[in-house]
Amino acid sequence: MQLNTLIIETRLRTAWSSIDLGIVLGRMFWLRGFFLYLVVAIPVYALTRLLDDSHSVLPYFILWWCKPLFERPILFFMSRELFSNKTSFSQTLGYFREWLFSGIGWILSVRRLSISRAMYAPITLLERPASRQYSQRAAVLGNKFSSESVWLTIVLFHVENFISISLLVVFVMFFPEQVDISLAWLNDLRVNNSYIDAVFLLVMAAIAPFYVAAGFMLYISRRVELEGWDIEICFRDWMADYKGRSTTELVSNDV
Amino acid sequence: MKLDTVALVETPEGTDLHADLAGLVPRTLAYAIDLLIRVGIMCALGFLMLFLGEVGMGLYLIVFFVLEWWYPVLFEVYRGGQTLGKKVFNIKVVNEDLTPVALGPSLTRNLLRGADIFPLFYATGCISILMTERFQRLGDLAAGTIVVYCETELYDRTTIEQVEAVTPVHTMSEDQQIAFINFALNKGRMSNDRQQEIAEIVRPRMPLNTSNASDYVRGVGKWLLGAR
Repeated sequence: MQLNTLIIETRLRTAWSSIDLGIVLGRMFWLRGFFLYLVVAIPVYALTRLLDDSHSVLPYFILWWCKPLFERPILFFMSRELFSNKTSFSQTLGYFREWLFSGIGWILSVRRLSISRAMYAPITLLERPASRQYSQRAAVLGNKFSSESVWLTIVLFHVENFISISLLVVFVMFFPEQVDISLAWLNDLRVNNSYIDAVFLLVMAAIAPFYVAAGFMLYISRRVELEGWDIEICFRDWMADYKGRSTTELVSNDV
Repeated sequence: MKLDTVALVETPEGTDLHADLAGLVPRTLAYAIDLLIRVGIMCALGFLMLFLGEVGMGLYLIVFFVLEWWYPVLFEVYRGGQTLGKKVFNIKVVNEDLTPVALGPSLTRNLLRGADIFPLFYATGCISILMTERFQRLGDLAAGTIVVYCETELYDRTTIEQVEAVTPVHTMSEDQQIAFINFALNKGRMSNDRQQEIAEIVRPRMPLNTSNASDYVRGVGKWLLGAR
């Protein structure tokens, strides 16, 4: 691990400030994250279309349940970009073996239920511990910041749904009255409607880069603190400087 | 330039002021607390006003107006930029140059909540906070305000009471001093092996007879904090 290649300023942060840093990271890689999310999500969306209208909210529920799976490629390329390893859209897809399979059963079952999953997802994907070690590791990292990671999920889940509903409302508001668009969902929100699910999915994909990055930064901040990354970086820079200077001094003395 | 969430202001005197910007998640939660307080007051008041008939209705609407439009403004101007919700999250509203916010900008940013709320649930404001560099909603952009964290102590200083201070034998830059101090205050969080590993990095700058590198670094940190 080359700490000097980190693209973030390493200093001790509060949980909230770590989440904010995640938002900055998410903004930086938003476009790539958005499309990678959709690449994984659209096949699942297509499968849910096979269900007929009697299934009410089931398609949405399936999409919602699979969120950790869709978020995987985002976390993967961000974990590389964090250390200045350029990983483009197509390269990320090319590395699919790295992010698609490991721990996939866990994140779609037991670990799906964790409200603070964003903070613990990097453990499953990047550290890949055995299940017993996982809970130890999660306990150590979650010793601090666990309640903030819960709030992160709650807030961004609400933001996501508020934006989705707003978009649908705006759509209806700006549609000419004369045209009958017969939006059945206005009368019955439980109706399975491809368009509505698509809007929700698009907004999920738009929020996901922020959510993944914020959780990842919570995880990184805990490691910065537990492993003293900020101190190590400063000390190494100092010694590199010091050694550099003493060699030049020696050379100049020789001359 | 490394990614950070800091707002930097260069003053004419040449000193840099900085503060950490507060983003969407803590701000949303602070807003939720303020909203709960306002709704709570309105519910309690609504119950009382039932007994006053039409006069009660009139009073109720006046209180609603004041709470909705003046509650944030008054708190921001006269309580150091903090509404009650912001106080819980230790954040405050300041001007972009980090000076306290006055009546004008505070009114602007709060009146423009009308724009941020469009079309529902502050969707526009949320998107704006996510997208702008300094986490500003439309009201902030118009008023030239930002929301930052109040300074906090990240460490508990009681952890180094047992440490013996060591006088350093080398000069250090400000960043290096902070690293030594953080090392000292970080006692008990990092594993012992890890502490040793990091402290060994600066071995070349220690006196030759230093036996335990991490004790030395921690001691210097304590010395820098003022202990002798």
